[in-house]
Amino acid sequence: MAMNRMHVVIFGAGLVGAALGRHIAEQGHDVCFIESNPEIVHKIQERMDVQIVQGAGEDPEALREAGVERADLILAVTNLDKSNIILTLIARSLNPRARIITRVKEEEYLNNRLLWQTGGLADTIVISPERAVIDQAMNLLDVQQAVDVAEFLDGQVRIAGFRLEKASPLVGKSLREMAPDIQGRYLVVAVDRDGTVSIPTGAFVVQPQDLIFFAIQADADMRHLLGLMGKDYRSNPKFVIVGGGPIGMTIAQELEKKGRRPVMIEPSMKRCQELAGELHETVVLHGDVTDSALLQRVIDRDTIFLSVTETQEVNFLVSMLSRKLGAVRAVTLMDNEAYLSMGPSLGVDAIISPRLAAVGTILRFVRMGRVLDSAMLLGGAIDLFLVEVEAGSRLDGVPLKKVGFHQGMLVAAAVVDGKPVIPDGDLVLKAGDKALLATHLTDVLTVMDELIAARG
Amino acid sequence: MNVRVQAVIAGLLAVCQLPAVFLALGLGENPIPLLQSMLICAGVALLYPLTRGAPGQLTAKDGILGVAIGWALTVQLGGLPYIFAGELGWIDATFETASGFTTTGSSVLTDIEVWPQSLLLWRSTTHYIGGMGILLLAIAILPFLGVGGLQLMKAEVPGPTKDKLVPRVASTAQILWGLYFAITLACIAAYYFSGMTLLDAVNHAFATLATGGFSTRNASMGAFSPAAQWWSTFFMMAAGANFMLHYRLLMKRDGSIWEDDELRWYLAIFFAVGLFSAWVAYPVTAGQDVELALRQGLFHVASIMTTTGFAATDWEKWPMYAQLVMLAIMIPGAMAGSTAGGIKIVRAVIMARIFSASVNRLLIPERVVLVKINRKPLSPEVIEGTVAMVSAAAAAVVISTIFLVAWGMDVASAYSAALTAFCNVGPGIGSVGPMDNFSAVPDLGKLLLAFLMVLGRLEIFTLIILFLPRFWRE
Repeated sequence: MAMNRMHVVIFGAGLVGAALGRHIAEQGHDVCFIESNPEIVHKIQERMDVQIVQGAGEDPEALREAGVERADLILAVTNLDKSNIILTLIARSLNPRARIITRVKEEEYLNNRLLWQTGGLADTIVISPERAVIDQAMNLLDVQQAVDVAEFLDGQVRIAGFRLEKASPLVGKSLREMAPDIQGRYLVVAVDRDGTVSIPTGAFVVQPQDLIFFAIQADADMRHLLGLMGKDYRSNPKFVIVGGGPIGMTIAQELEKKGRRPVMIEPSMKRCQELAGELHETVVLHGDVTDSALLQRVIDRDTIFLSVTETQEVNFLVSMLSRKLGAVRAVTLMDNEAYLSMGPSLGVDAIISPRLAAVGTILRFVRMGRVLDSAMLLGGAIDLFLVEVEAGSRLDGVPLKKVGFHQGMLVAAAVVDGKPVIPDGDLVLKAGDKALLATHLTDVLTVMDELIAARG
Repeated sequence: MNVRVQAVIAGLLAVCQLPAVFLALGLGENPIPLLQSMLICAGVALLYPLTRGAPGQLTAKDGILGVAIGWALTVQLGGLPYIFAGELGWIDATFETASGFTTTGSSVLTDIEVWPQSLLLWRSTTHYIGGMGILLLAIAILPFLGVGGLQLMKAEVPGPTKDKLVPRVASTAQILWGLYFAITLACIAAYYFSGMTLLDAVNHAFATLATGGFSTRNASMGAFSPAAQWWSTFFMMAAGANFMLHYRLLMKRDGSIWEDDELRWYLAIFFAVGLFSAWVAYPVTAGQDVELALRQGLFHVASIMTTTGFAATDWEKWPMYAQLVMLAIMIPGAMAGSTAGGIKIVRAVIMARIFSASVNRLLIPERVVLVKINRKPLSPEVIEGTVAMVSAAAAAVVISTIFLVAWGMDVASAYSAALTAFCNVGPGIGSVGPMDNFSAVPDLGKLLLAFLMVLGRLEIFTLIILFLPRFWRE
């Protein structure tokens, strides 16, 4: 599995497209955008080492110039569902063998199975940014107090980051010193200190406000882990959702499936009626989401608060308010970078960025094939790859501590004989086992290849 | 148009009397009363050719009028054989026929077993026709006569919402009557192999599937084997279930019917009250026999809640509170879209959910709660209709009780008679208990009860609308 350079064509260089292009280019592939907005074209040209064709995606001239016929991967990620679907059909007609990933938001398209099974759309990978947001939200609601979570193997293994509190018994200890507390149960994968990510060694001493990422299994004792971080755990949390849009409603439905009875606040009476019709266990309240008297009545110490209205500022505001009113945790839907940096100091530290969620999901599929699965944390500061150990590779049959990893990479979790395990230095992987590699390096694929691919 | 509907109904009644005529001829009984009645029905049917050229489309008003007058006509024509045979006077005949067609099963007869078999078969046949509905039968088998339309079906079929199974009304009616007939055949076979004669099996299967309750024996189902009583319990419950669910289960193999809210409540009430009654019946059963107690408990609860009204033992020997429980389960009755009476379980569930929604809103004023059935919100029209129907039912029973008491009945008998008539059950308590009959009720009372039966069968609106002056002003 040698590193091969792909030719990638991206329709649409908006927020999602640009972020994808940057990640893909950083991994050594050739990226070509097709974008009609001259301002965006100009901005991309200045900031990124990519090719950009100005023009409409439907224009044969632009298509030829971008090299759609010889592309290995095509991403249709404009803002419009209709455009993405048509661009997919056009690209497929020019290039029958490329992998095509399409971003589609509207349920009407997504739910139409037949549409994606027949004709020119048959081999398209469809990505729903909303679904990505919902998955992320469910992870953040599930893993209490986590700032960011990535899920692997259907949730059997998660990598979750928690901020270390002053009150934590771990403060001032090195990883080696805390080993007795965590050995075999969780593994420290990475630490983010003031925006700098590192894969720590045994001598690393943790400080308050460090964001520590652990690999944890589905049956982990979260009360114990959160106790180590100096945080509270709620065994029976009460979920309060503000904003009853499609995202809020789906999250409520997912919570209902888990046997929860969330409370939902929605300002539109008409929408409240629809929600009350669709949701069967959820308590739907009609009211202004910023009405602090109402919030005060529904929020208590066990409340996990989720704000997913359409207005980011409102989300930020009510999340802050909810923390003031005693909510144990506030999960907020927000893309604005100014707020993102302010959040943690105001108690709003679990943030779902729709843009990052979409980018993350699409990258997962971009990488798929080379790796079994992948994800990123902190907007790409940490990359995670699930790979299979090949016979005769450097990982095969050698205890992990003797493998000689590149600085900045480690095995965060593994699947041995079909069972997920949290590894230690003595773990020996054999061909056919799987390893979840974590790294903060950007050009990782070469490093990874030499690690897992058979020698010779 | 409405004359045409009436002519078709009369014609159908004439045809339905044929089996009883043949039985009379076969057993050497006097066929003349039945033949006279057939002739009169046929005479009314002859009005049909006069209606050529009448518009084929029915308005909602036409539908209501057709069904209301049709039922009044049916009750009068259906009682003719009893009158011609000299067995009953007009008032008793009206009561007995109303009780038959509305599948109530209350009787004024003191000794059933002395009646000619052919008249008893006709009596069971009135149950059978009324169970699924005579207009639905007309729609099903005579679409070419120009009797049809959703309006007639809506006015006759019970339940808060009326859906068609298939796009065509006539096909829907055919499916419903076809299922009804098929399950009846199964019931006849079950009774026959449990030791009944073929004639008893047919009579009782008619009364069972229609959830009527007329028997050919003074001891009702108590005259037959335990096996027959168990089968009866099963088929009464089947007849009290929504025939749309039968259709989905039997014809479409649709297992999701078990998630139906109303079916779940129906079965839950049956088993809960049935086991409670078995527990009550256990000390009362002379033999202290568990099977007997279970059989009696479940049989009577099925009999009362499906509004059939068969008896196998005198449950008036049970403690008073247990008898009141039996009266209580008459009110919800069985499922909408079945042959049973009562206000229907789905309406009781809707009422309970309206109550719970009101309480929730009191506790949290901002809360938005919808009343749902099968996880689907009900439209305001359905909720209003339900509240109106249930309130009107309560008013009808209370007012009738007052009249019956005024005419000389004791309170318990009067109340239970009004309730049992409106819910189309059959027996009440007191002087109209399961082992008694309605012969002692004053004449005016009999007519009032007959009216209540039709009022309950047509779920109030169809009939009561005729008494509103507004309906007659254009």
